[in-house]
Amino acid sequence: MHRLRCTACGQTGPAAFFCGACEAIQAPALQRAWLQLLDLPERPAIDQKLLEKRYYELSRRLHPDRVQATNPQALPTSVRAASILNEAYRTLRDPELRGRWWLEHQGGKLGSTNSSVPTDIAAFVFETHETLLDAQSSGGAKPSESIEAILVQVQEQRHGHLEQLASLLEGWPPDAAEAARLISLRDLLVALSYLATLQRDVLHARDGLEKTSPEPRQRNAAGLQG
Amino acid sequence: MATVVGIDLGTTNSLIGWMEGERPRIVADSITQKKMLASAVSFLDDKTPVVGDAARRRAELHPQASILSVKRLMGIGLEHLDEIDRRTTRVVDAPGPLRITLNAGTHELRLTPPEVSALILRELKRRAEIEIGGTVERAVITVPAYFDDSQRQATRDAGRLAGLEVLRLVNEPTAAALAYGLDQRQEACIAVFDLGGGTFDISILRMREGLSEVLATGGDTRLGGDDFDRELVSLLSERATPSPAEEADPRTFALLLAAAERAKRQLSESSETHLEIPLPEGTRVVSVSRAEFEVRTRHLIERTIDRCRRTLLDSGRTATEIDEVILVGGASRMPAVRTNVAAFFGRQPLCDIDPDLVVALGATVQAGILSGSNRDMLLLDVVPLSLGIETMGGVFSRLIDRNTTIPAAARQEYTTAVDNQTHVEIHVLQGEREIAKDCRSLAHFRIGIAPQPAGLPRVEVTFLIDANGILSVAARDQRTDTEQSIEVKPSYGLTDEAIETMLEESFDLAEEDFALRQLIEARVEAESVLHTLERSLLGHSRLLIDDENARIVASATTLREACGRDDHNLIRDLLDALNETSSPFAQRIMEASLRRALESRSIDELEGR
Ligand SMILES: [Zn+2]
Repeated sequence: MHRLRCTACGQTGPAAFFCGACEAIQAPALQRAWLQLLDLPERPAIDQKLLEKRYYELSRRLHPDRVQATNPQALPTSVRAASILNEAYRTLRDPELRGRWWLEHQGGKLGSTNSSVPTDIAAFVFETHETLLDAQSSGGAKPSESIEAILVQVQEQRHGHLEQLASLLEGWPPDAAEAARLISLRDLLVALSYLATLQRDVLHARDGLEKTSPEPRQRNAAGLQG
Repeated sequence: MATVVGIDLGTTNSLIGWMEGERPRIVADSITQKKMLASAVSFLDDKTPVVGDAARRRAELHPQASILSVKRLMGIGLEHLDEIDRRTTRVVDAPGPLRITLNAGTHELRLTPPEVSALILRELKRRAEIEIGGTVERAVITVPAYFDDSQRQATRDAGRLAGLEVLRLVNEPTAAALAYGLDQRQEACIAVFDLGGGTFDISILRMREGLSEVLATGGDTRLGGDDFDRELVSLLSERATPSPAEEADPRTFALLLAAAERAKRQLSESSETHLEIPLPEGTRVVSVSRAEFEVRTRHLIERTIDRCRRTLLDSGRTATEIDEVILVGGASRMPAVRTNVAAFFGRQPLCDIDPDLVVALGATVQAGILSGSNRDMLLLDVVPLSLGIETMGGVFSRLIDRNTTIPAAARQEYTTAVDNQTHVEIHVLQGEREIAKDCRSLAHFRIGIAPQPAGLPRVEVTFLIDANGILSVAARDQRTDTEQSIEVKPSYGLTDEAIETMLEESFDLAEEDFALRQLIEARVEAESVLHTLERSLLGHSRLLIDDENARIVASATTLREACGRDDHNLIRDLLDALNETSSPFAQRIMEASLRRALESRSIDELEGR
């Protein structure tokens, strides 16, 4: 149970978006406590319907547009609270982001070290890029059809890995996990991230869109020097 | 709680609405009963500003004293002006916030785009106050979803200059969805295609039980109905003027532009149009077919469909998963837009609510949410462009991805490189490119740091985007747990001091003074009619019969004299009289030019052109 001191009445209680004693809006910057803040069970597999329900309920209570009408003094807090809620929801609803978040908070050092890409995935990514280049440069009769075929392959690969991820998270033991489980989680996430980039490249090739920079899945935490 | 109004501050037209009980209602002008206010500002010789239709009319005769489509210039820098902006607008060639140069009589005015927009907002506010019967101080204003932080700031500044507290900026397509969502109860996935005068937006939303959640938004702030007009201008000038439109003088260009706007409207209704263009060298009649127009503008429509494709991809939905498509914005009336949108999404678009009013209605619904009268509804919007900072080597490092639900926050930790360093400079940008200089610069933040040995300070900087999509930055030293000072240098926006100065120097609109306003409008119209007539008398003297010339001149002289006095009713009466006297002559001119147009065409056909 994560605990927090209320910024309005000073009482200490379970971390939540609303103080248990005085009901003032709180903006608890506690990434580890996201499941508790959303009143969800402490496990990495999630009931999507329930998550959505909680998110909408909380949004209706603490979104600045609602607070503006009911309690204007709490507006600055509600902007921060809503930004926390939004980030929690965005992370938890996506199995990959949720897995990464879980790894970071359960795996300690393991979560922040980068592992190398699994060899089977590296080979697959390499081969697919070659085929993609061939399809684009060949100028053959139906380049779009061969790109479509490549896309199906990539999507199947990703789909398979996502299923593995889902069952790994679903079967997660209630107590702190053993290292082996964390390592397989990490390797799965790395593979998925490579496959996501690959899928985007194929989609862009298919739609003739210019390549944009990849989504910043892993942020540089080190920061800048002034 | 006092009334909060909803405002659609459009490129071409603007509207204002309020919640009458539980339904949004758009304000109509107390005199003309028209809801749309032309987003045009023109200055009389004594610097008095005129806003609306009168200003738009005046712009044809006095382009140097008038400004249309000022929204295109909001929150941008000199370097973002395109070729046409430079031709239609004169700007001060100096760094800092963009300033527009206008000539009112002998006065030279230099105005920032927010100051011009503020005049439009004040006119809207005035109209609303008359209809509501009370003062209006707080507003929701819509902006194109794809507006970046500077463009949003500029809109908020305009509100402030107009004496309005801007409670919220709402994205236009989202507002449109809100207007539809008022009666929407079951869950649906909606695409809003919004082609306005100067901007294009496409948004994908999910709506359920009063909650509107934006999944993705995309668009182009430099693509709109104006671009279609400009294609028409070049088409018209090929047929009506000796030199191409790019070389035309400002007056001719303004006349061609006015004709193009008419042509675009007519081509939405019929497959061909015959236009009378009152050029300085004589009136010309030009024919344009819808097919010709569509060929010339195909690339513009393709640009909108390409944006739809990208945004759909971002939303994680496919075209078949979209339950409804809503068309918004006057320019979406063009049949080619309708056909292409229907083909892309595989369904006929909805337009149950007047596309001209729908954004203002939605803004008003949001005003109702903020004032507590729409308790069941809530809007969850997204940030349209990724936000990040410049890192070493000029690389753009993203902190908040586009289409992230707002409010949204990101944190970044900084330290110092040399002993006793007293500040860290952070350059914040917005965009989707990898190199900082390809993204739009928002501001430089200078974080003050207490002098310490290098590497010791640990300053956590929080970037917070609020529900308006506007950025604020806070910094805290992690070791001493103290808030650090921040100095902001906006790249294109106005500083608070600049706004204060502008507020003090702001123009006085002829507020609440009906008589004066009607007088100004009557004078503007008389001036325009007299001007056209004078040219016709010179250019078509052989079409005059009997004592017609003398009668028309006498009638015109009386009107001109009346313009010097303060009786708008007299001016109107004399205008009617002059119109009556000169209408047979005008009729003959029209017939003659039509005949000429038909003759030249048949010669073209004979010669096989
Ligand atoms: Zn409390």
